Amino acid sequence: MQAGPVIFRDRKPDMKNGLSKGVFLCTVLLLWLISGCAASGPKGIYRAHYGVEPPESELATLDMGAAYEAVIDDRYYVSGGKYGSVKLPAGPHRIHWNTWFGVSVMVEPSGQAAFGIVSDISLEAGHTYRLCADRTTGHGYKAYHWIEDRTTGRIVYGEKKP
Amino acid sequence: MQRRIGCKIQRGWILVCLALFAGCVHVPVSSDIVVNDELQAAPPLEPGDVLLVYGKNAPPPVQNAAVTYFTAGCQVAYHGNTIGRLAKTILKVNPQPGRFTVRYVKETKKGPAPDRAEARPDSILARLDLTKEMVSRDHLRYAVHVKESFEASIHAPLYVSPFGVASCSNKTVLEAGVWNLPDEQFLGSFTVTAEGEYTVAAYIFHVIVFPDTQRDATERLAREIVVRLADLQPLEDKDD
Repeated sequence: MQAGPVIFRDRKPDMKNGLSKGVFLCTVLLLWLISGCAASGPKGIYRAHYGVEPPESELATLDMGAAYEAVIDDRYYVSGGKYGSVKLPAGPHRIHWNTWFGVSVMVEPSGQAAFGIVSDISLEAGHTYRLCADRTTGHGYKAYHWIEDRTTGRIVYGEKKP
Repeated sequence: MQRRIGCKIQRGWILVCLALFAGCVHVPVSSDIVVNDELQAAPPLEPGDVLLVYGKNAPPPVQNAAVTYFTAGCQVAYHGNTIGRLAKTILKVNPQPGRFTVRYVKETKKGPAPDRAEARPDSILARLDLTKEMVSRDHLRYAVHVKESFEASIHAPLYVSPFGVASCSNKTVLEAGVWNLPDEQFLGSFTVTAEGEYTVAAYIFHVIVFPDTQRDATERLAREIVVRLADLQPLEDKDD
C-alpha cells in the first residue's frame, strides 16, 4: 500500500522534466529554423569590366536591389546573394535580371513566382541605379519591374508600382 | 495511469517537433556523372570572342495526379530551361569574367533569309540565321548545340501523405555538338550523363534525398566547355 504514493511522487517530477526538455528542444529547433531568416553580412561589390580598370569617374553603380541574379552584356554573371552592387563602365548595357516573389499556393501552386527581365539601358558615369520590383496581391496579381536612377530620382526603365 | 499520461505527452512533443520539420529536410546529393568526350582539340577563345549556345530542352515528364501523389511528387524534380541555365552557368564558372561572351540564341527553323543566299541551307550559319560577315564582325567563334533528354522511372510509389516511401530514378543526358563558326567546321561532341535516385522517406518527418541531375549535368557541361573551349580552370559553382 505504501509503494503506490512513493511511485506517484517519483513520477511527477519525471513528467515535468520530460515536458521541460521537450519545450527546451522545441525552442532550440525553432530558433535554429528562424536563424536562417536572419540578415546576412555585408555583400561585396562586383566589378564588371575586363582588363585595365577604368577610373572611378567613368563608372556607374548598379544596386542589385530586388534582383537575385543578373547577367550583364552576356559577359558577367552577378549573384545577388553575394554582391550588393555592381560597378560598370558608363554607356549602353543589356541587363538580364531575375526576381521572385513568395506567393500563396492558391495563386501559384509552387508558392513562388519568378520573373526574368531584359533591360537595355544607358548608364551615366557617377550615377547609382537600383533594380526594383513590387507586385499587387491576390488572383490576377500584377508584377512591376523598374530601374531607378537614385542620383536623379528618375525611372529609366519599366513602370513603377503606382 | 500517470506513467501512460507522461508517455503520451512525450510522444505528443515528439510529434510536434516532427510536424515542424515535415517536408523540410532535403538532403542534397550529387548525381553519378559520366562524360563521353569526342571533341577535337580546339584553339581557346580569345578576349572579346563570342560563344553561342542553342538547342532543345527536354519536355517535362508525363505524369498524372495519382502518380504525383503516390510518388510524393518525385517526378516533378524537373526544370524547364536547361539551355538558358547552361549559358548562365558558363559565365558563373568562368574564372576570367568578361574575357568572352556567352549568347543564348534560339534555333531558327525557317532556314536562311533571302538576303543570305551564300549560306547553304544545311550549314550551321543557315541554321542560326547568320552570315560570314556577321561571324567576322561580331567575333562569333564557337556554337554549341545542346540536346537535353530527361527521364524519370518510378521505383517505389508507396507514399500516402504524410507516411511512406517513394523513389524515382532521374537521369539527364546533355549532348553538346561544337562548331567552329569562322570555318563552319564541326569539331565533335560531349555527352554528359547524370543519374541519381530521388527518394522520400516519411513518417510525418520527411527526409528527401534529392540529386538534381539536370543541375549537375548542366554544371559539368559548363565546366567542360570552359576547360576545352577557353583553356581555363573553371570556378566552383557554389550556391550563395
